[in-house]
Amino acid sequence: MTDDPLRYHFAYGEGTPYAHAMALVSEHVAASGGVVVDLGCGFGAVAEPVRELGLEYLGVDSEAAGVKDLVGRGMEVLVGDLGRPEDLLADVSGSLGGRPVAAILMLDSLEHLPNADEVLGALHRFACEHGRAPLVVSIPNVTHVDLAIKLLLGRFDMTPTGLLDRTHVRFFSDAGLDEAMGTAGWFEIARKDFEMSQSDQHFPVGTVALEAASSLGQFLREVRAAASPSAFVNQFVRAYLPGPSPAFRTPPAPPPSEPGPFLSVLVRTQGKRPHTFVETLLSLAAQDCADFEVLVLCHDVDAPERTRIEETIGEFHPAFSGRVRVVEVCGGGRSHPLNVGAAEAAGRYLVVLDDDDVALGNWVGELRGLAEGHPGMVVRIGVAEQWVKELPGAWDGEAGYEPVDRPRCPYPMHFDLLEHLGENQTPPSGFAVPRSLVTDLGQGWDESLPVYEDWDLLMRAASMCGVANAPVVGALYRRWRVGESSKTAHADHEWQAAQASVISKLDRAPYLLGRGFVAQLLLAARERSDLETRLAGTQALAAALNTLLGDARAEYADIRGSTSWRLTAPLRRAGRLLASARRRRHPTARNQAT
Amino acid sequence: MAGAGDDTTPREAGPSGADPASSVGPPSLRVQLVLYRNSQGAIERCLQSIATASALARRRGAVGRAVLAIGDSSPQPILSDRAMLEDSLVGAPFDAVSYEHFGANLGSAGGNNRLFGDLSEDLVLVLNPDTYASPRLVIELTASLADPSIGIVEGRQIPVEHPKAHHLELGDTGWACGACFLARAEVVRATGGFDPDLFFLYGDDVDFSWRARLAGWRIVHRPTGRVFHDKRLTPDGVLEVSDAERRYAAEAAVLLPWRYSRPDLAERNLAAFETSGDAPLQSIARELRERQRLGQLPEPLDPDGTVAEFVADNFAEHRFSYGD
Repeated sequence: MTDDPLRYHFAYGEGTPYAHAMALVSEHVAASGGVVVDLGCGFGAVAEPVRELGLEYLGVDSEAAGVKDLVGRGMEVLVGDLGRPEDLLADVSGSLGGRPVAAILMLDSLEHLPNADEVLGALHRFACEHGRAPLVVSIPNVTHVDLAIKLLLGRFDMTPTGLLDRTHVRFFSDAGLDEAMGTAGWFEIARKDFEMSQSDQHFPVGTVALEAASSLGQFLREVRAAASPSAFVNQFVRAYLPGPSPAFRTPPAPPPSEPGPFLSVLVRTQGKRPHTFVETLLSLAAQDCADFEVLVLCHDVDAPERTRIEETIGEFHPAFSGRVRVVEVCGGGRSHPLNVGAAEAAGRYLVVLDDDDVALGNWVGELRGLAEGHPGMVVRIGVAEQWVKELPGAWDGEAGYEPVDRPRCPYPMHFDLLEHLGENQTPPSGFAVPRSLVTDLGQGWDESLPVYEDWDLLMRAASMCGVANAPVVGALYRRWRVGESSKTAHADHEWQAAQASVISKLDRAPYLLGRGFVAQLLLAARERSDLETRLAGTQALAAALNTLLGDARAEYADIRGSTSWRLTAPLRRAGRLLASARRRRHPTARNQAT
Repeated sequence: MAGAGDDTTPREAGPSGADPASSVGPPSLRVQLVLYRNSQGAIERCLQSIATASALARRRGAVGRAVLAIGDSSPQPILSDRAMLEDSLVGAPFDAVSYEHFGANLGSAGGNNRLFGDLSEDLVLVLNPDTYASPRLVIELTASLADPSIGIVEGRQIPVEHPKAHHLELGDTGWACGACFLARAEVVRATGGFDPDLFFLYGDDVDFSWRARLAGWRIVHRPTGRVFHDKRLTPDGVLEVSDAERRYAAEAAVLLPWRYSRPDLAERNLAAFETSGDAPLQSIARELRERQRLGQLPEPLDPDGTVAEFVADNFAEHRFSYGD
């Protein structure tokens, strides 16, 4: 361990966190101009750039080397530390001598302070007393992908500087920073985070899990990148303004004392099918298991229709309607409401039941039973489909419908990943995914897909979670013989393009395969090999037969061209006449002959 | 009758000329259900749903006085807390609630007939306890009875819809399914209700409906009278059927043709049971043969086949089949 203060003597330059911080300063500096107060300034890497903006610079630090360096560069410096922030900030006020504060900087310093929260609170008061000056911070991200992967490997390498500087006493994630700043009364107004795909923690070189070129490295980086946008952020560089006094802030909601329900049912509706929507609700109200909530996602629904939807829900018994929430969703395609619903949901699992589908009474109970036995896995049950036809105006002038066939089960009861990769074999109501897949791993519904968004999610979910399956029917998926459904609302080429997109997306990143898949793959390979062998045999046989046929034709042509063939023509004619006469006498003989 | 108030078209009255819509105020309603070993959860859901539907119908003026009658054929009383039952159901949904433990399994026909015994309301809604009524069920069904020629209106079952055909515009159908129908009290009085001596569990609704039609009433299907009926499907998409349902359906396949003047069909079905190699069916066949020998066959009705329909193995034209 070294105490050499020069290790922090970093130069200012483009493409550094300092430049990002200065960009925020220049954009958000107080209109009055004045002094930029650089707390924990070290060697004051930004001092000159501050002056170049026409602002004054006041560095504050207790480290002699940095102070001496700054003074040598003609900068104003106040010596002091933030152990007692109120005292230090009083000294700063004194140094300012009435000059306005243009901005406050804390670059690479907050993480060194054991009393960071106290400092942020004191700074809030200081900023309010000095024209509500903005605060710009630069703070290392302890959830950078390199650190995340190294923790997986059991490594936590402290270094003299960098993400895991040995003198850091506070470690910030994106959410942790938000909470600390918000609690102190600071409101974020801009961010210019500094990203590095390889941080100073990207060592030892050649570590399989760290290298993006390796399958494992790529997979882990994909997982981390999908989980939150801060995977490659090296420094959080953000600007804040002081909000109302923290004393008046609403305290953050305590974690719910009761865990959420098992399931959140996402019901998409455009308000176009009131006659089936009420049946969807009815089938939910009648569930054996009430451990679920319903989010009715009103997608681009106008106010009168939304009122009608709310009235329909409100007519149900409170034991059910009390578990239904209406969520307004504007814009976006088919998948957008589902992502909005997932963000609103409280259930441990998410499932989709569209407004023309109905659940059987065992639907929620079967899914819950599976989830209890296989926590964290996708749970899948069978879905029957039923063809129905629209009956426009048949029900007292409203659109009606009726089934034209009994329910059938064309979808396999057992989940087969290989077969599912070829085509979708599970309707949306047939599987529920852990909400954590969406909230923690960022695996929502792909809004760029016009169709197949359910299949796309299922394939990604199957990879990450595995699939627990029960061969029971739990829902009825309606297929419309006439009328609008996604199968008819989108052209064939859209389906094909979406299918290609799903496969291409799955293929771009490593795909995690569950236990037992190798044996399944081997079996499929053997079956293919057997089929290829049989096909080759059949082709060889066909080729041999073709050769024989060719020889026979050639021989026949030779014979027909011969003199003897021409001489015996009358005899063959007589023979045909004789055969014809025999067939007339015994008709069945002809049938047998043919 | 509210729900009928919009419709002022004169209609031909039913057999007795009675029309609740013409009486002063909305008709009174009785809801009745017969329990048999149902789970507390299922009963609770069913009662909540019908209480909601009844309260809404009363608020909208579709019905006036409303009572709930619960019969229990279970070995032990399922609903022991009468006070709680009354606390939760008496008020907005119902004026009165009654619960009777029969002390014997009377079947659906016998149980409902027992409850019919003190029927004094204008309309009676017969409901299975494994159902969940849609909030507007009562409103929708009573609206159909605005037509005085209609004696019984059945609800539409979801998620597994009954395949029986109905007239798309008028709603007329061959018979009303006993899982959920609303009947005029006059129909019950005119027919004597179900025939529990002949039909214990299955076919009782067909028989009741056909006798109502013989008495001159129309029976209609109301597609907007939605009721969830807790039916399950096998992995092949076929309806799950209990042993009891299978047994009594087999009985009905002989008893209904006997009663409705189609001895040829009854004989054909009996013979098929006897040669089926299926022990339960053969047992049923023996019992029915014994009744035949003892002269306990029902009096034949409808000799001209005016109401009874035997189509394939069904008692009406079906739109699709669950059997294939």
